[in-house]
Amino acid sequence: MVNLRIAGQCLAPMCCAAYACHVLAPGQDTSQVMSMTDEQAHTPAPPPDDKVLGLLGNKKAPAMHIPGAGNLGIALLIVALGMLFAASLVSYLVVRYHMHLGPGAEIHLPPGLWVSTAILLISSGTIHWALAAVRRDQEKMLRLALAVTFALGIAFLIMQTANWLDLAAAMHRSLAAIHAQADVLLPGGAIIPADRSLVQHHDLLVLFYVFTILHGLHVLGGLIPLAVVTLRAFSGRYSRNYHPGVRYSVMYWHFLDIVWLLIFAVLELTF
Amino acid sequence: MTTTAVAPVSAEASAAPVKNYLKQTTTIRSWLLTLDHKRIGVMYLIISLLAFFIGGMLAEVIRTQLLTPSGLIFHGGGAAYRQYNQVFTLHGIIMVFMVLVPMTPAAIGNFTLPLLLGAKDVAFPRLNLFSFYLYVSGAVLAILSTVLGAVDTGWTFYAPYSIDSNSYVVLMVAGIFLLGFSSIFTGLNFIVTIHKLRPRGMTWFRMPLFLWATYATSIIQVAATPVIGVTLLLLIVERVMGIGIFNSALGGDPVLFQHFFWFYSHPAVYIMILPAMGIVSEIITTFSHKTIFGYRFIAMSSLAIALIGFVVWGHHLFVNGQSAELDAIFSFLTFLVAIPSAVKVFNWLATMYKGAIDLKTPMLYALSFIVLFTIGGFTGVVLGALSTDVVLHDTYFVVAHFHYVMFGGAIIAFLGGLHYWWPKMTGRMYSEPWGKFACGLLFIAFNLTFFPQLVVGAHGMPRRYATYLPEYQSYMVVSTIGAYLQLIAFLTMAGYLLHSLFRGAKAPENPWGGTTLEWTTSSPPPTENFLGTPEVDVPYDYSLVEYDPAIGSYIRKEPVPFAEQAH
Ligand code: HEM
Ligand SMILES: [Cu+2]
Repeated sequence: MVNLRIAGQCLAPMCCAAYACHVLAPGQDTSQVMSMTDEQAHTPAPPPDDKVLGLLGNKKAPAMHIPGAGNLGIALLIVALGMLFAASLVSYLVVRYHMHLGPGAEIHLPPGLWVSTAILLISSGTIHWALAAVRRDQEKMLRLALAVTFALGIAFLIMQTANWLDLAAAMHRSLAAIHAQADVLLPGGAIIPADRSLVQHHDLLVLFYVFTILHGLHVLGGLIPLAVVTLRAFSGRYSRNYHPGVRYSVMYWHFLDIVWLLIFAVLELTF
Repeated sequence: MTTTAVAPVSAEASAAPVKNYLKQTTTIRSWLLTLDHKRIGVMYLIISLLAFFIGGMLAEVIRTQLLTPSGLIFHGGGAAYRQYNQVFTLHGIIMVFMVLVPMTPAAIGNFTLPLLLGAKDVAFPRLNLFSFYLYVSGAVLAILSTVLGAVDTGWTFYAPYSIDSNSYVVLMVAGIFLLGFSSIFTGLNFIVTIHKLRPRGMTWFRMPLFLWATYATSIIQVAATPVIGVTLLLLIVERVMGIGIFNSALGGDPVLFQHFFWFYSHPAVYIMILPAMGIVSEIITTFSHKTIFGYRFIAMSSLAIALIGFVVWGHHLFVNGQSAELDAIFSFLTFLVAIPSAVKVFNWLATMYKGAIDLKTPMLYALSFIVLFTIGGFTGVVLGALSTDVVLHDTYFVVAHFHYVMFGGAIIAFLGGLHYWWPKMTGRMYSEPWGKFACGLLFIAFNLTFFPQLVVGAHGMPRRYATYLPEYQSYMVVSTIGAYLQLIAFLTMAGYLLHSLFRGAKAPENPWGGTTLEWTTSSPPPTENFLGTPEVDVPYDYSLVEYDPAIGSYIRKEPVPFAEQAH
């Protein structure tokens, strides 16, 4: 019997508390499930149930696997987050379209972005490799691939932090320049300086931070369940027939990758 | 796993008495940390009803203010008018984000969805509890912002005022952000549940219609809500960092805010109305004791409304600087939405035709819904036409329109659902005469309140002002009297419903003669809902149930087959 209580069932960065998604009351009849797979072999025997969340999960209410539910859940999560990022990109493009950037306060994207992009791309490859490994029951390979992916995820965040720090200097300069020229102060602290283009460069930088940090938080949110899945791989939980956590991680990770490529492309083309 | 025809086990009938979900465990912890969809539904219900009460009292303040042209409560201009703005803003925010969006999907939906499906619970019970706490935290932030210094932007937070306005917009918006994520996770959970937990025999086109409505609603929740999340996030960034995204003074684009806001908020009105229509479909067929007419049309019209609803948001921007071409396209698409809405109305009427109509309280609510929603829909079409909207935009006509659809539609149907499933939820019957009285009074009071607003709106009275021209006073007085009568109706309702909890007759399994699965288990159901997994055939076959005067309940002639009996 396999207990799935905390595997990366739910990779939402915001729903760490909700990892263990798969709990059904005992007595849940598997016959009601539409598609039958091997995973059904893991139906637990029904002990008494009080359907209450315990601090470490409810020992009495055993985890119950509904085939395909996790996949669909992650897919829907990706739809929701996809809308989130799509809306951010649209808003960025509209704001950018309204800007008239003059020469002068030229700001360049830090070249380190190319490095982080490469890291993320490679990690998408390694996590795919993990999936291929578990499908062939190659446990050692699975562990290695997951560990490497996790390390690459961390590396990506470190690289992004370096990029943010890199731009912070430019941000600082632009702010100082704005303050030097400021001539209109609106209530609430907003400013209309003589040089519009300076301010707009500043705004552009803020937007850069907003979108890359938004993405970074989602990577961070993905790393936590990925760590759980990796640990589980090391304790030998997964097999060819049973590896939902790995599958969900792969879906989510590819999604982060695609979103990043889009954000990066748009930033490179419009900065 | 083949069919063994065993009657569903009710609390009385089983050998070892099965405790119902209310009595299973009684500690506070067992409620606060419950994974039982029914308890979570009840907790949503309690909180959203509390919010409804607060929002309602604010409405009474608004109506009292408008008794006289210069204002009865807030007068003298400046600060006083700002307070009036705060009152209607809070009224709107509470009613939309804390009452209408969560009430029907999350409260009624949580309680009934697995029961209608014949399932033990939703697919992800922990996520469900998590959504509930997101909802609570969002509400707490919103209350905090109100206590510290109330928002006065209107529920729409239009930029640039929401950026300049010196009140606690950031906190309020952060609260709504959390409420939004609660809504996303609920929708996600429901979609997966409907996909994966339908019992044997329940194909897509054998699902009860409420499930179709919930399914369509959930799609909107998952796909549209993230957009308001980003919008509100950008609003916060803009305020905190002082940059120009929506603020034209800083090179931003205020119309962009409106596009984003309505990209969510128009579909959001369907988050409110679709489950309401689902409830009405269930009630009409049950109390007509006749199978629903045009099942597939009703099911598909839910999806159609949800999908078309995504592309009509521009009708809120007809006079706000949108190009004429876009105006025309959005106007056309808006007219399209009226078609699936009308399809539903015709199907409900056809269902009642030659049915054995039983005018119990839930049915009265369903009939009220049809009348009020039809008026609301028609006024919507008037607003969707470009030339009339130019005149009517931002007048009381719009206020009356959305109250007819949101209150006359969504809330009235919610109340119908509450009365319909009350015996299942609480195990008690409420007083039928009092129920009818409150429903009738509410119907009259509602029209007294909002019909005059249609008229003054057409005469050009603008919305969101603390004062008005004396010529409108007689209408405004009637409207206020209506609002007070509504309060009486709601207090009556609270009275007999609470009374029923303690003194009400014990509810039988199937008091109304419903054919969906929740009526095959005891009232209230056991924690596991069903002791086995039911198998189902075509829905709404009323030849299967008949009234048994001996127990005052409908019984099934052939018991529902249960796939497997758990012992
Ligand atoms: C037949 C379907 C409907 C049509 C054609 C329609 C059309 C419209 C139009 C054109 C407006 C913009 C009026 C203006 O601001 O000038 C509007 C406003 C509004 N409608 Fe509808 N509507 C329909 C159904 C609904 C439903 C079902 C709901 C809610 C349950 C709803 C809620 C609202 C709200 C809240 C507003 C105005 C919000 C505000 O400005 O504060 N409508 N409607
Ligand atoms: Cu609309």
